[in-house]
Amino acid sequence: MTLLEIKDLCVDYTVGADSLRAVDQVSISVAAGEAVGIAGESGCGKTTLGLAVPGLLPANATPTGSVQLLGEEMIGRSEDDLNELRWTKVSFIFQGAMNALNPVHRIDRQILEPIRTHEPNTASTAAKERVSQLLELVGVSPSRARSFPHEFSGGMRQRVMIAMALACRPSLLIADEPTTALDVISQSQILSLLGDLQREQQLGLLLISHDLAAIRRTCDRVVVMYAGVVVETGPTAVILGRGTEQRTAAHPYTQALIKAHPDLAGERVLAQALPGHPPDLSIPIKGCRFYDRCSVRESICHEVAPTLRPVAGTAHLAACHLVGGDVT
Amino acid sequence: MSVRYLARKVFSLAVTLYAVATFNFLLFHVLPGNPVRLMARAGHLDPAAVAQLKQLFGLDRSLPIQYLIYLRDLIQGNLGFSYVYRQPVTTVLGPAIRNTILLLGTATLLTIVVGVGLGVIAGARANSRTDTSVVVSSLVLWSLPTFWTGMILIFICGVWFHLLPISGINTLGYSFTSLGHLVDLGKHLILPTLTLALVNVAEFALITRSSLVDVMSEDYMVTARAKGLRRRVIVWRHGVRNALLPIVTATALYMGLVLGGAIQVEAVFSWPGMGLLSYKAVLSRDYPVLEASFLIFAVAVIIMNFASDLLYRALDPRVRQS
Repeated sequence: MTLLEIKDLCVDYTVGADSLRAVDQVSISVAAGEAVGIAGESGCGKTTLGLAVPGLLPANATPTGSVQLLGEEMIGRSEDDLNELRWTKVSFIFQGAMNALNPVHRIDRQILEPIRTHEPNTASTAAKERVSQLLELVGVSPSRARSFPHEFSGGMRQRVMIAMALACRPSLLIADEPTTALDVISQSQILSLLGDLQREQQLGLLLISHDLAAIRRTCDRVVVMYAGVVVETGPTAVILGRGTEQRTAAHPYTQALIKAHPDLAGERVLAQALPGHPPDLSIPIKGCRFYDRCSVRESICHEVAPTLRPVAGTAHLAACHLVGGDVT
Repeated sequence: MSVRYLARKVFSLAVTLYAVATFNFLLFHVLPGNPVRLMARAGHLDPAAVAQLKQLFGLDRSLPIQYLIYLRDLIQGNLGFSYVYRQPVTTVLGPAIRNTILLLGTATLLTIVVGVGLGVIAGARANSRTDTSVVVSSLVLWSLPTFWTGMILIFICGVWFHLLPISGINTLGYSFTSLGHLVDLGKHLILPTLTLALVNVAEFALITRSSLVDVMSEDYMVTARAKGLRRRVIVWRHGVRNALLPIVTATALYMGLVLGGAIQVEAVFSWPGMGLLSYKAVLSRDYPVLEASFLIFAVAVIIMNFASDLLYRALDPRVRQS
């Protein structure tokens, strides 16, 4: 069953008199219990896409298209109606370094808060018991339930955040750069924890990250975004490679991203930076959005915007004129 | 831990109070003017009378001895003898302190409730029309000098429309039942309270608003929304709770300003409180009363700061640690 079905989602930001389309015609689906990674540089629309799902976009953003969560349309839903689905069906984990926990409330109170809000009939003792269980689940001693966020390290805070996200047993977890700005040990631990929880609890996971290694470790499928559009999507094992498998990323952008990441297991080569930066989205682009930075571009790329086409089989798609189909 | 903190705080409070008392003593001894001459109000004075007056007030002793006597008297609660009222200063101060606490207490309560309320309404919807009108009217009110606002209010409410009494604390020449007395007191309280509150409400509204606007863009506010909480809960439990910290600091600073404002307002409305008393004491060079007033103002500000320190600690767990 499809847990999350995003279809032709566009998000426009209005800044003064200007308008900017940060997410353009994006379609992504996540099945129940499936882990999907969204990769791409900063400013590619990954976070905007994530925030659009539970309707958390800032006031100057207008989403159009369709986002269906368990069959319920999220776009155009009133705040009150969204509140019924938030945290009960979809939870959000924010960037590790962010101040996502309220500094003046004890963590048990913050974890209890959504339980009390969404399940007013749950007895107080049962709710508290659940908080202890949740903390234990994420590897935080329940004896620290009465602590304040600043009394925890970054990694521990992120564990508390995960416990909080699971408080109302959601079906979908959106994690936006959950390991960014944590030290490597914590990064690894948090990723293992997320992966384990996702498998054990059959959670749908949407992992937003610029870190391909994180996505490779936890996700079944990967969606690569560039400048607000999906440029490539397919099984993680195929695109990023797992273990000894050959990776067959098709899109030049995905290939460049992979090259920009040092690979511990493979050959010892210097990571290659991808020069330039994503295009200014307030200016309309006719052809391929990656044209300016692409090393294999051809004249057609400047004229016609590529659409997603099968590369091999039906699961692996890429939006590049030079990949799959007729042109080689 | 907490006991040690409190002990340290109380110790520093005691040191500050001692320093203020000493400064207060020195200030009035270095000021030009001869108290004996002022008391006698005459150019020529019999040297015997001078000596007698000096002895009476202890002015024949050396300065260090006078200082010790001053401290001793202070500890015993003896603030001296007013030149003008011919009564112990404590007797003169008693009702004045009561009246000022009544005026400032009412004004402060009004200021905090209305000011913070307006600030929250504006800050929770930054850049909305409501927000803009709160900010603009607050800026206008904030720029009004207290004594001027007072006179304008007297003019409008008292002189034009005869709505409210404009002077004193009770209507003279009437005898009231106890309830009638309270109503009369309340009527007299309205204009001075309003004068004091107007400018301070504006200040509190602006501080609350800007503090809340900062907090509203914090990451944990997005978390609160993501958790599906009701807007009122998000704004108050997560927003205002965090925005309170600068407001507490502002309240402590406000105490110093409001005491200054009280002198002006009490003078304009002839409100028989500390402000009017010290104003008159300056005019008549009633040094003992002035000294005592200074001391009380200073003590009030110090105690308010102390209270706000404790409150800040209670509100912000991060301060408790260090």
